[in-house]
Amino acid sequence: MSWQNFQDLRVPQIRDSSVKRRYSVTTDILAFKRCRRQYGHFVVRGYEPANAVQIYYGMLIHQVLDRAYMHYAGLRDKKTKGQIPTDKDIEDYFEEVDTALRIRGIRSVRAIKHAAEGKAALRRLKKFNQIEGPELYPRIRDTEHHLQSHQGNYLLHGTVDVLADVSNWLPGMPGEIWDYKGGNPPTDRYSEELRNYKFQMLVYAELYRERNGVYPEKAILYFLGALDAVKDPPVRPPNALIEVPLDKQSIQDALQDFTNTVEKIEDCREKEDWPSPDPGQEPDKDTCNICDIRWDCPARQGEYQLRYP
Amino acid sequence: MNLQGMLTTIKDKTGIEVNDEQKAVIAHGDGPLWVIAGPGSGKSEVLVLRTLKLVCIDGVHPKSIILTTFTEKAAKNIQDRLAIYKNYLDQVDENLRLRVDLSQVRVGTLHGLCNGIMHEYRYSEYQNYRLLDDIEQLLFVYEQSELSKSEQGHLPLWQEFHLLTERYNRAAGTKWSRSRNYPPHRWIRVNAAVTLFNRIVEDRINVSQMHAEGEIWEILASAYKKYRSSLEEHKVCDFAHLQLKFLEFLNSPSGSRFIQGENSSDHPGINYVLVDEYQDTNPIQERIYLKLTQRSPHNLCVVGDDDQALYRFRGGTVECMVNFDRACQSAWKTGVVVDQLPLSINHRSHPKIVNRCDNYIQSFPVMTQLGARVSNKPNLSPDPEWESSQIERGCSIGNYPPVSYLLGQNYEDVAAHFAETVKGLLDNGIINDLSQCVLLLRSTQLSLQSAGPYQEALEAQQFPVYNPRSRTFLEQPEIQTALGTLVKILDPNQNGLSGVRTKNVRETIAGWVQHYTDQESQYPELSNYVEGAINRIRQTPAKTRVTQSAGQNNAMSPATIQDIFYHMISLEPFVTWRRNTEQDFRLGKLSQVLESYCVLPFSNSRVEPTRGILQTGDTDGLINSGQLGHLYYSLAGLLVSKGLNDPEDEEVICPKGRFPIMTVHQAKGLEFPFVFLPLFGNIQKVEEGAELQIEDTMMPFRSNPSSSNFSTKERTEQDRIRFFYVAYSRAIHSLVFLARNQDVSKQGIGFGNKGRQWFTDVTQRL
Repeated sequence: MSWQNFQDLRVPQIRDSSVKRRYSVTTDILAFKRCRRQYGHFVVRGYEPANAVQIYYGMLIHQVLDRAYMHYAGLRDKKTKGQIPTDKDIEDYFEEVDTALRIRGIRSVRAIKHAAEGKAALRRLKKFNQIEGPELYPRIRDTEHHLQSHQGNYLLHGTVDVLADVSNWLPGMPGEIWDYKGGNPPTDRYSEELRNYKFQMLVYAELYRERNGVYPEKAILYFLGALDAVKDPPVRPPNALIEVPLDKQSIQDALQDFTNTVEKIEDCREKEDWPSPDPGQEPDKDTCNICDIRWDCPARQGEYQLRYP
Repeated sequence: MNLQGMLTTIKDKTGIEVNDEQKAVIAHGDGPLWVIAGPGSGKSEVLVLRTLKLVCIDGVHPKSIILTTFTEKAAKNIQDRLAIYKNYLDQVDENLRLRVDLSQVRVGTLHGLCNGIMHEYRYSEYQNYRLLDDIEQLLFVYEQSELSKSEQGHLPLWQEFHLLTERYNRAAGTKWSRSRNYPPHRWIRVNAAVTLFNRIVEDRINVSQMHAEGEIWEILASAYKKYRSSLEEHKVCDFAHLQLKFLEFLNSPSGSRFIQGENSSDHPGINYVLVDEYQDTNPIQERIYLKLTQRSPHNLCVVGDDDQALYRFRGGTVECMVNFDRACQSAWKTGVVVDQLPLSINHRSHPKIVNRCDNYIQSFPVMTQLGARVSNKPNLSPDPEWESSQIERGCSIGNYPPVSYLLGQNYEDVAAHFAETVKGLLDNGIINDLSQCVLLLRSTQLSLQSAGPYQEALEAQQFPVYNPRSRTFLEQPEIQTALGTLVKILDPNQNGLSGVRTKNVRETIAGWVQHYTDQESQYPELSNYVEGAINRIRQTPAKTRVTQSAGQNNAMSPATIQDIFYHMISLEPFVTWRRNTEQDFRLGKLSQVLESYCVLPFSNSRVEPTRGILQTGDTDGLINSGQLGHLYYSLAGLLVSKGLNDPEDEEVICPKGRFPIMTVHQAKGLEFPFVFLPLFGNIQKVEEGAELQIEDTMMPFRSNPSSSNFSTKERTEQDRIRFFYVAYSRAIHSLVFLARNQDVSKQGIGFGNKGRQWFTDVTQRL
């Protein structure tokens, strides 16, 4: 027997060469918290969503605001350095991003029926630029700022929309982290949605601390929808901005929550099973309404009648 | 902390001890560094430690360091190791914890870094571009390029590149050769055009010069220019152009800001570039690396082994590695000194395997000529401590043959013998897991001369096999039924199929529909859905978009191919298939392919802006024939001619409990206790010529012509020698050749049949 030539040899299992899993605050943790079945399909098993509309507005808002800041910083054209973009500039940037997203197929034809929402988004962006730009742009240190941290068996990462100096900043002082939300501010201060947004900022605060040694001075959620709630607001509506309190305990709790969620994800991976949410834990209806795998979802049994073709 | 302190800490915590050669690379100061690293010499570890030294000892800003790897997996592995080692150093030096953030080191594949950096700097020529994967590029060229059209005038071009075009005959089910007086099949043209376009970019071809040459060159240059315009028009970018755009970015004001920096911690500029696997670099990548390190003192550190160059078919050219010193001097002028350091001790393999590998590579006259290998390259040496280090890892090393061979009467007989041997190894505790072995092949498709008999023999022993690149994706029942259901809905009687002239495409599509038909009586929900979907389309008037039946708020959304996919998989038998992880992953991959197909634009907007939206044609209730034609020719044609692979596990090399069957290319950078290597049939037959034919014929148009003076034949032979060198050097404990009796010459078993029996004196028959 051929193997007998090797009977004096014993080779133990080779060392585990697998890499640490990467977990993003939004793409993984919040997505899994929202719905583990949806997460399993679209993030783990590679299903490609049919409907890209949900990412369209987020990309549009973030890219236009980013261009507005680049305009001010003179990073697109040196001549505009120090100038707050005009309404026309914002319209141009909006058009530029919208066209690019449409060519890329991100704005699917279904978005056309949301044309009114597109107009609303443009109004909000202009208003943000007018109200917040003059005070905020000069303080911005970086946008789309990537942060990450190795946590034992996994790597945690996230992207902060804006990293800004505090007003009257002096060297060595911690800065602010901002996250833009395109929609309306939650009316219920105890809502799941707001809790998740706060969780996101608390985790970012910890990532910030790991890089800078201190927590940020402020963590700010900005809801652009508030700028459109009343006609032409001259100043920032009070509900547009929510400052997330950054006490150590809340941050530790958020990190623990993060770790617990990672464990739950790992458990699903181990079992190779991504069950639908337990009763009472279903995501909001808006999430399900645009979910491609809603038709046979046990958590929404009978709620969605299969459509044709 | 100093370097010695750092290395001592790492050794204390991990047991990893560096040798003098490795230490010299880690400690090297500034200036270009050329590291010639043999197989198993610990080059990745050295790159990690050098990076650690730069940041933690020298105080280099982590964001000013770029470290490129060949795969994303390797990049993640390096990031993880950096984090682990940094953690150990933090325990010794408290100051490091806050002073240094290693996560800012830019580690990744060159493609990944190009993409990330251009996004980071909001490079306007790249923002909002869709990066096309291989399949999408083929679909795009199929739709957009004039080379995909059947033009008699293009015939001389295809005849010139006949080695390339003939390669795709089998997949397309044709027998085209250059003696034919008509152009090859469309999918052959598309595949060949993609290769040529990529090479134009990767080899840095001067397109204007090519155009001016006239005749076939004018055709090619003109088609390439139009292809590039189409990419821009539709805001898409393939992997080759990703690199070109990055080079253009580096030459732009934003790129200058990126390289030079701005005196801030967010933009420190680029100070060090470290490149792994440099032997597979292509000319445009070489240009990128030289540009990134244009600032004196040009801290470009390249690590690689010219003997392991494998990727000529992707434009990789070993000359970049062999002539690194000359490239530096030519790029930066002013007498730049390039330090060359070797990593010549192989810690991986049994000393007898190492010695044989070294003898092997040096035994060929074509490898000993000037310019074939890096000059002054030291011999590969075995690690004198190899056995004791293996024992420390829990191995028991007795008397056994490190290099051996196993014979059989025919392919099936050899395969059976091989599987029995594997069973013996496992049953007798010589190995603990099937993933400790590997079978290396040139192609892992399930044909008689490739993986077929082996996979069958392993499965006969009840051994699960991991062979994701066997191109059997399309043969799986869930995929065939899904595609069959889609076709059944869009073209209920397959009227459009009669117009498909390519027999194997037509038959394959008919086979898909048959799969659906076979299921329909068992699964009434599915057949009801199909019936309902067909009726919905039938109710749609001519030249109208098909809409979904009323859903929430009675919204009449347009219906898409992807909708049909998601509707069908909510029904049996798909629901059951989706409970199986592998089948679910496959359906996930099919959804990606459908998305790619649907989102790419038509060459004109005659039907819809995107292809996924369904529309009727001139007749009420029937899908537009153009749309169906596209589905059959473009999507089905692609799937049939390309033959997709299964989705691969991105996290592990091979799942535990399964026997990996891999191509030698897949095994690059990997190691296995037992390597089985068939030495017959196709394994020795290199697809000769196509890459070299392109390389040679396009050489006059290169911006920097290669300095290689080897003939095409010599370079073919060199590539073949290197291919087997990579295969041999994957083995840790044992290298087992597999052969038929008739493949063994009187002198024994070895490479080739010209008296080069490099393993004759050490191989033992099992």
